[in-house]
Amino acid sequence: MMEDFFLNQLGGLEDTGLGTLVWLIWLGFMMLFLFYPTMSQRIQLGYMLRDLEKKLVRLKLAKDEVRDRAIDTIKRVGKPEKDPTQDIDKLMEFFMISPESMDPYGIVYKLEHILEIGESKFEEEIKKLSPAAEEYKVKTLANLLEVARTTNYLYRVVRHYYLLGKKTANIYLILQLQMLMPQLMEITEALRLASYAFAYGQPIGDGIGVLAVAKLAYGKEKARYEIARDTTVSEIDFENRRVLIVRATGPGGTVGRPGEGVKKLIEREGDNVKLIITIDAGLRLEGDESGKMVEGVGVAIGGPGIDKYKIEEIARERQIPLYAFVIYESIVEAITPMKEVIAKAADSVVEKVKSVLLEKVPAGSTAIVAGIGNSVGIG
Amino acid sequence: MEGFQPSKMLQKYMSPITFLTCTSCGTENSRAFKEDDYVFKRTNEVCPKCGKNELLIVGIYVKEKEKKT
Ligand SMILES: [Zn+2]
Repeated sequence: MMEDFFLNQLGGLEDTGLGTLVWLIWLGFMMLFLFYPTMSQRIQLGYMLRDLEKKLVRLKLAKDEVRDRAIDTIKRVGKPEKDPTQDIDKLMEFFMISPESMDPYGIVYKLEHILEIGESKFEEEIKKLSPAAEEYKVKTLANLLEVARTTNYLYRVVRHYYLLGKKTANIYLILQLQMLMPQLMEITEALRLASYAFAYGQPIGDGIGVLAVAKLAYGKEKARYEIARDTTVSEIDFENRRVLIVRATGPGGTVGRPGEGVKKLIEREGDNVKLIITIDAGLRLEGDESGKMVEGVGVAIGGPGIDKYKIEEIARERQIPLYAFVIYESIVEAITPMKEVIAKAADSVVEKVKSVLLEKVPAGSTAIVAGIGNSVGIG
Repeated sequence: MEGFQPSKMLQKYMSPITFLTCTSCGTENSRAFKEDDYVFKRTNEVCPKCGKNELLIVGIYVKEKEKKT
């Protein structure tokens, strides 16, 4: 009989003493989980930490790769007299402290002030490191350093929470970090690819707004001048309407000051301005199609909000309608070399802007079209 | 617990293509991106069709891979 067989087996084990041992081990485990309920959590924590460690190594590799690319590019383009490695490492730790928001009055201008000093300082340092680089290339190099700085910061933050979680054996801390990891890895990967674009001066997805207005202006320009720092105005005539096109000055990597530019133009033009159109890349939702253009009202400008604020304020004051076009992109597409579907969207944006100008701007009056985004690789 | 594969994360960098148009005959052609290229730059490369040496860069972007159907 089957049962007898098993009983005999057990009996046999008991004879050797092994059975007792197995029972004791079993009992030990039971007691362990009974009186030490965090045991399973500890095992899980161990697994999670190992997983995070692997990802942290990957972040470090990406960070080092971007740093090395920044150093190589500065050496190649800027031809510094001495080794720039030390100065670049210093710039990678550079920080800006955002203004105190306890009393929010005037915070936009405080923020603008700090960002402007930061940007100037950054560019100044890079200019010193790159005596051979042209003015516009210094701006692109500053972008590259900014990418290196962000990668470095992301790595340090992740490392901080990893080490803290490990030190305190805090599974909830580790759990939160692990939940965020896929997005952080994606952003780091995007930054890694962005470093190529800025190292060689290639247009990125975020430049679609600039590209669209550059196409709108090309060949029709009556005047071109700088209205604010790194910001160019191109004047064109379109079907008896005066169109002032505002964009970042290319082909260096900069986003310019479209807010300041539009504000100055309106102050100069007075009530002739009948419409403001902004064109920008917008973050698409998962499942949306890249390169799809959508339209709406308001000011389409991302970033810290200074430019958006300035345009909204003056538009409200003068009662000028705000029209916006957004081209969908993912966060990765926005900072990596421009994809075909996005570049192709520029032509349809131009056509659409033209029809809006015809429809909403009376003949003989003026409209402002602002192409928002980074002008790297777009002249 | 699924392990993390670094190879999965590593996206390959795709260098963009530069698209040029001849300013006198309008012939379009393309080549790999070269440093210092930018959109609306006039280069003094020679047109393969009419031989004039002024080409205008009209686009720089990454060609998408053909989708499998
Ligand atoms: Zn030709």
